[in-house]
Formats: sequence, structure tokens, C-alpha cells
Amino acid sequence: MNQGTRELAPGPARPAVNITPLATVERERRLPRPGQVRVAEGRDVNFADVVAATPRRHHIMILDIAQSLGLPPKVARQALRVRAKDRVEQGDVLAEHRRGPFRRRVVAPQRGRVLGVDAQARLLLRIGMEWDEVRAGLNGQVVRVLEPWGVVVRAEGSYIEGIWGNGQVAAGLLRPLTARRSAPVDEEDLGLEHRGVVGVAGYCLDPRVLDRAEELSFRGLVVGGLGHACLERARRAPFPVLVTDGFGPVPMSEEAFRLLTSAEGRSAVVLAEPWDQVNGARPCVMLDLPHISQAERVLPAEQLLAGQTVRVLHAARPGLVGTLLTSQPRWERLPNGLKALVVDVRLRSGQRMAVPIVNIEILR
Amino acid sequence: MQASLVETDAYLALDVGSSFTRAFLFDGVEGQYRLIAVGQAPSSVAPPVRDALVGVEQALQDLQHLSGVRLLDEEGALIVPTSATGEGVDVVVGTVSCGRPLRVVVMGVLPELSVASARRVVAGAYADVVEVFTATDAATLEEQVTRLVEAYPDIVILAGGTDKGARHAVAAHVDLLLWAVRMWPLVQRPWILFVGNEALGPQVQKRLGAHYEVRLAPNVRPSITREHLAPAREAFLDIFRLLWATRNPGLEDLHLLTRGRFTLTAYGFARLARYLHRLYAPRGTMLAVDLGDRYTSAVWGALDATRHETWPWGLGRGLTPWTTRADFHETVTRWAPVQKLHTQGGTVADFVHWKALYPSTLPLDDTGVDLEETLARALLQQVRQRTVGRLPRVDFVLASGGVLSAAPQPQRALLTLLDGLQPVGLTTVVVDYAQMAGVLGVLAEVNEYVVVQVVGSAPFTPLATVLSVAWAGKVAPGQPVARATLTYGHGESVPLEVAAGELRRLSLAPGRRATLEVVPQRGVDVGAGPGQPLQRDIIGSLLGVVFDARGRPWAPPEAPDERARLLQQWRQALQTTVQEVAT
Repeated sequence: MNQGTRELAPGPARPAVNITPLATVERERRLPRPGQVRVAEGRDVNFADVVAATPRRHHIMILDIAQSLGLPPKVARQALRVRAKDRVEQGDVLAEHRRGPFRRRVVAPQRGRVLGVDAQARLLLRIGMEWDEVRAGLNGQVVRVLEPWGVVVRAEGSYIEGIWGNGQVAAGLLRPLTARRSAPVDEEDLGLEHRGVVGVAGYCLDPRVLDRAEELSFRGLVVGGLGHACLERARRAPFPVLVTDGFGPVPMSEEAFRLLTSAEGRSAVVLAEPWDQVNGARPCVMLDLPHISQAERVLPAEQLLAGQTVRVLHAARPGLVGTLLTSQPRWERLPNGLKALVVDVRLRSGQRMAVPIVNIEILR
Repeated sequence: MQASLVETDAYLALDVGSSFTRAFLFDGVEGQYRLIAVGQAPSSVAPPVRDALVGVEQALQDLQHLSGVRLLDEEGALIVPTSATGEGVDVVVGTVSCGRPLRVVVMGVLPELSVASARRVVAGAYADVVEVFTATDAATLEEQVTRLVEAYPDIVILAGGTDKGARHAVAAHVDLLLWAVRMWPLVQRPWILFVGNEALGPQVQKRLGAHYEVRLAPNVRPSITREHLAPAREAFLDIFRLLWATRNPGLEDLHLLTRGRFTLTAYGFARLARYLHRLYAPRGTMLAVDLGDRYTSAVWGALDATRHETWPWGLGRGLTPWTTRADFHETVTRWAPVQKLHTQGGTVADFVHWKALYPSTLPLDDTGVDLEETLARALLQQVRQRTVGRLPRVDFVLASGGVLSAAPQPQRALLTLLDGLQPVGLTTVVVDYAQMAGVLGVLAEVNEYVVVQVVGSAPFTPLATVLSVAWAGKVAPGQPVARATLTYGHGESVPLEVAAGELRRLSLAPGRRATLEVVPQRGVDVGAGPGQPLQRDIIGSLLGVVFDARGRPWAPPEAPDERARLLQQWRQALQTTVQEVAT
């Protein structure tokens, strides 16, 4: 392979992680399957509002009308008193047949909706449904409807993106739990004064912290790093748990910690949905601001440019941040023997490092 | 063979993966087709770009730069066919593995007949069989309708009945689909592929056609003793392509660009694996594994009875299903040569979560490489359990995927493979260094000469011939288990005493041949059965002949330090001075 340098051709940009005090965010809120959009364009929404839903479970009954009436299917169909799409209450007559003084009836065993009848005179009754719902996730406005999938919600405020979330969304007042971004949070750090807050901590390795947070009715927990031992517990937590930087004893990035701790006492929405790399949506914290001017538009990606602040994605050295020295990648063999297309980054420590472009996220 | 090369066409093969898009240029060099260069770029199907073609264009620009051949005109369009000045290419083919797996429901009469055949139609594709219905299903009608509706399939394969056979079971499944239609809105309705009793085709079309997109294909089980899968597979692939093209922007354009010479990477991989199987072990068994980012594909078995499966897990995005499995974390921790990621103390399990979240990143230190190889070992172990079993006699192994193909040194790839697959006996190991097995499989349909000649060149140089020794009971480390003699083509012989617990290597350069004779100790199996000697002609390879006398099944030592020490020792034992072979 060619070892020389060359211009980076225009094309796919590197992903950007946004941590910004004044941001305008447009967030797609999509169903896993097509369904119904329940809000109109232009409507103001609260983070907890359901904006779209699709059936997940159907509770049904199939009633054999012919057998119940003791009739051939063709005759039984003529005895029907309901049609497809009819709503019925428990006890309503579904089919009725008279012969002389005798009358036979089939009644609805439960409240439901008739979905149809087949040629055998079997009646399909839906008696219940469970839905997959998508909530707005942010306090903002619906700016686009993506029928039949969902909507795009626009929101403004301080904005911090993370890398992992447990699927929950809630809002509460921000409260730092550790004084330093590189400090672990312990069970003892959580007192009654933390009841109902969104806690912010360097990192968490002890699942008992999550037990305690649940006891204190936390509205959210935001940490730089979360240990493997905590992940399963975090998945079961009834409040949102959001990880900003990595897994294990990983400190929170300076930018995120500063922004979150300086907003102590302010209301924050924690949208801790898993990072969907197909749809590009990261888990995030959004702080409402009373008045915003000169808000920066959040971008999921940007092209590499010299001078950009970048995060180096290094499993063994999480939290590495530096400045991109060149956007022109070149093939190079790394010290571990792997060959990669790299760019140069000056780390905050002053060290210069050749980093594969696939290991770079732009820090905005 | 030469006759076809009077005028060589230039071939461009595109592979759109989950993490990377690659562009391979093949052209004639001194009368032989060769891989000229490989361009690569991050894939762009996912946001923010959401257009596969952007990644393709980037990979083409990279390819232009590396090959020196102009492929794109001033407007960025691909030059097809080649110009008089040698710019552009003549034929374009493509493979793809970037999308989410499709959900498939299988309906048939008997589990071991039509249902098994319908499953084989799906096997190898990026699809999950999420629900199965048979004529012997004991569930009530309500339960069956609910199961079907809540499976939310993309495709329903409706099989059943030999020709002129079972009608009732097929009709019952059609009824089931008619019930479900009342609950699925139009946009959620699956495609129906009918591959059952051909006499029922028109009736199925008539009853379901008003509600579903229905495709009829010839019966997969025309009689109880006969299976006929090819047309059904083709029809399934058509539907698959259509659905993926709808869901993955840019794939439709790729389909047009390649004029339909476009298939799933797993299908191409399987085709090439079978070709190499014929080449390296026509009378033996094969295990071919492609360990991808999102998917893992395996082809295995004897030549006339190979099977192909693709699972929705791999070494990147495909790790996600494993991150919640405690047994997987235990396996990985058990194999890892390190216990801590860094000085602050991150664990091996933390690395698994990291890799699932950042699948495209490369390890930036030795520990990262070690841990990626450990993950590969754990996944290869899963492949072994699902394919060839506990102590597999495998004559030929083909391996593909970033961790193996782009390993820093070839011996690392071999150790990963041996630990994960643990073959027994004599095995020829080939690694797809340029990760082009998939596209070569597609190229084989266009011009077999390209494949024949490229496979005979550097990117497919065999990695090693491995003699793996097994025994029952306990054998103390250092105790002799076999005597081997390698006799080179020019007559020179090299004797070697193989002791339990060690890995040894004898050179046999690529292109050379030799005869290997092995006499095992009593009860020791070198591939011919316990205590039976073995004599085989073998071919040269990068690492030559490797003797793996660690026993089978082999498990790493409990102590991490001991694991790290042994790993280092074995890497040194297999050390090679062979120059890199990757393009």
C-alpha cells in the first residue's frame, strides 16, 4: 500500500459527539415497526408525551359460530349480528339463530372489536392490545412527521451526548455526586438530600449505588464510566442511566462534567436510549434554558479538519482528547503491528499520536 | 485457460460491509488475472450519510490513488467500459452485508421434510427464522395467529406438500395468513414466498394475492426423497435484495451499477469456500468461517454435502447479543491473556462492551489486539459447537474477517484459529488476507478464470498445514506423543519429535511440496485414528507445517500470567520471517 500522504477526499465524515452549552437539537423519534403517529407537526411536546405507537401484542379470541350454533358454516354466517370493525361489549349478541320456539345465541365473552369472520364462520375478536410507544424524549416542538414511523422533535438548551443508555427517559434537577470527574461514586455518597435528583458522577463500579439510587427515587444517573458489574443492574433500573465516556473506571470528559456540574439545581431531561448506530441517535442529557440566542446546531458528524478537537477512541486509555493536526490521512503501521489509515493528533498532554481515522470522534 | 486472456477485461468488485466498504480491482498482469489494489473507506449506509454509494465513491477514490488507474470521470461517475487509454473497468460486481437481518417465518408440513427444506432456503442469508409453523403444531388457532402476528416477519416461506401431496396443511397455513392480515396494517405485511406443492400455487396466489405480495417458486420438496432448493433460493434472494434495497439507501443504485451481479457477501463467501474446498481437500471435510462485524458465516462438511449458516453475531456490532450473556464473559475472561485493560483497572468485560459500541475502531495497543483475538477465539468456539462439534476432523479451513485477515503477524491468526476451532488431524489453513472471498464468489459467475488465477496468487497463499494431535486420558507435558518426518521434494528429510504441550513448526515455503509421515504413540490420534500412522503429501505455506501437540480439547491455563507466558512462547515458536502477504 502507498505510504505517502494525500488529500482526504470528500465523503463520509467522522461521527461527532456534541457537548455544547447552547444547542439546537433535532431528534428523530422512530418506532421499531410502522405504526401510528399521534401528534401533529408544530405541536409542543413534553419529553414524556407519546408521539407514536405500534401494536406489540394482540389479545384475540376466535369463536366458532357454526359449532356454537350447531349449524353449517354457510347458515351460521347468515346468523351473524355483527360485522368486521364493530365494537362489542361483554354480553352483546354476536350471532343468533331461531328455529321454532328455540333460540340460540352466541354472545361476546369480553369487550372487544370484531376483526372479521372467515368462510367457516369463525369470528375473530380482538379483546386487547399492548403497544410499543415512542415518547418525545425532549421538551420541544414536533417539526416533522415521518408517517408511519414517528416524528422529529426540535429542542433547545445545553446538550451532552453519551455512548450508552439503559432505555429510560425522565427529568429531574441536576445534582453532582462526586467532586471530581475522575472520582468513583459510592453508596455512601447518596443521602436523603439526593431524593428525586438526576445524579452526576465520575464513574460507577458498584451496583449497590444503583440500588441506593432506586431507594432514593432518582430521576436519573449520569456517569463517565460504568463497570461491567453495574450494567445488568442499570438495565433493570427504573430511572435513566446514561454513560458519557466508557465502560469501567473511566472518568467523565472535562467538558461534560463542567457543563453538568455548573448546572446544579437546573432541570435536565435524561434521554438514556441505547445508542442506535443505524439511526445515529445517541443517548443524551438536555438542560432547558429560559432564553436561547446563538444556539449551535447539533450535528451527528463532520468532515475532518485540522484544528478540530477530537476524542481518540482507545479502549485502554479512555478520555483521550486532542487537537487534529492534519486531515490528510496516510497508511501507517501502528506500534502493535496493525496497518491503518491514520491522522496526527496532539493530545492535551502534548504527546503527538498517529490515530486511525476510524478511532476518531469529533468533539463539538 | 490462456485463450480467455487474449483481451483481459478489468473487473471491479465492491463489498459494502457494516463497517467498511471495499473496492477491489482485478486485471490481467502478464497473462494472468491479479488483484491490482484494494481501496477502502468507512461504510456510509448508517447516518449521518445514509447512502451506501458515498462509501463506495470514497473506496473508489482510495482505489484510484493506490492503483494509479483512473476509475472516475470528472463528474465522479465510474468509467465503464475501459477507455482506449486504460481508464475505468469493464465489469462491476458487488456484495453486501451491511443491513439488519430480515425476520423470516417458515410454514411447512413436517419439521424434518418441508420445514427443513424451507429453512435451508434461508440458511446462509442475513435472516433470522423467528417462528416456525408445522402441520403438527399443537397450539390452538388463537395461539398460532398470535404467534404469527407478533413475529412481525418480513418474509413468510410457505412450504409443504410434495407435488400432488398434502393440501390440507397448506390450506390451513393460508388461513392463518388470512387471519393475520386482519391485524397487520398494509405497511407491516410480509412477502409470501410459496415453495410447496406446485399444484396449489394458483390457489395460494388467488387467496393471498389480494392482501400480500406473493411469489411462487418451484416446490422445495417435489417428492419425499427429492429436495430442489435452487429456484426457491433465487426467489428468496430476489425478495431479500428488494427489502434491503428499500431499507438501506444506495443499495438499489449499487444493484443497477453492477447490472444485477450483486449478492450477499455470505453467499459469495460460501461459493468461494466450496471452490477452495475442491482445490485443497476434495475428499476431505471443510470448515470455512467469515467472522464479520455484524454477522458470522460458516460453510462446513464434505464436498457433496456442505452446509451454510449465517448468524447475526460477529466481532463488532454483532457482539451486542453476547454482552448480556454471563457465560460469554466467562469464556472471554478465561481465554484472555490479560485481566486489566489499563492501569485504572478496566476489565476484560468492559472491553467487550466497548467493542460492541465502537465496532469499527482498531486496537491501539498490544492489549487491544490480544483482546480482539480473544473475542475471536470465543466466537470461533461458538462456530465450532454449531457446526463440526467438539473434536472436529477438518481437512481444510478457510478463514476471513478483519481480526484474522489483518492480524499483525500470520502466526497470531493461526493461533486464534487453532484455539477457537481446535481441529484434529491434518488441516490446511487458508486465510483470506484481502477479505475478498465474498466478491470472488460473485466473480466466479462472471469469469471463472479470474477466480482460478487470483486464488493461485499471494492473497490466498495457504497460511499453514497443521497437524493437531489428540489423545484420551492424561499425558504429561513434555512426554513424546509422535515422531514426524518431513521429506522435501529434493529428497532431504527432517525428523521431529513432537512432545505433549508444545507447538512446533517446520518450514515448507509456498509453492513447494513435501511428504509428511507421522508415527504416533499408542492411543495418540494424528488424524488416522488412535495409534495409527499417517502419511500425506502436503503443500507449502507461509508458516509451513505446524505441529499442535497441546491435546484436544485444549483449554487455557487458569492463571492469567501463565496464559500470557504460553501465548508469548507459542507466538515465538511459530515466528516467521515471511513478509506480509496482504495487499
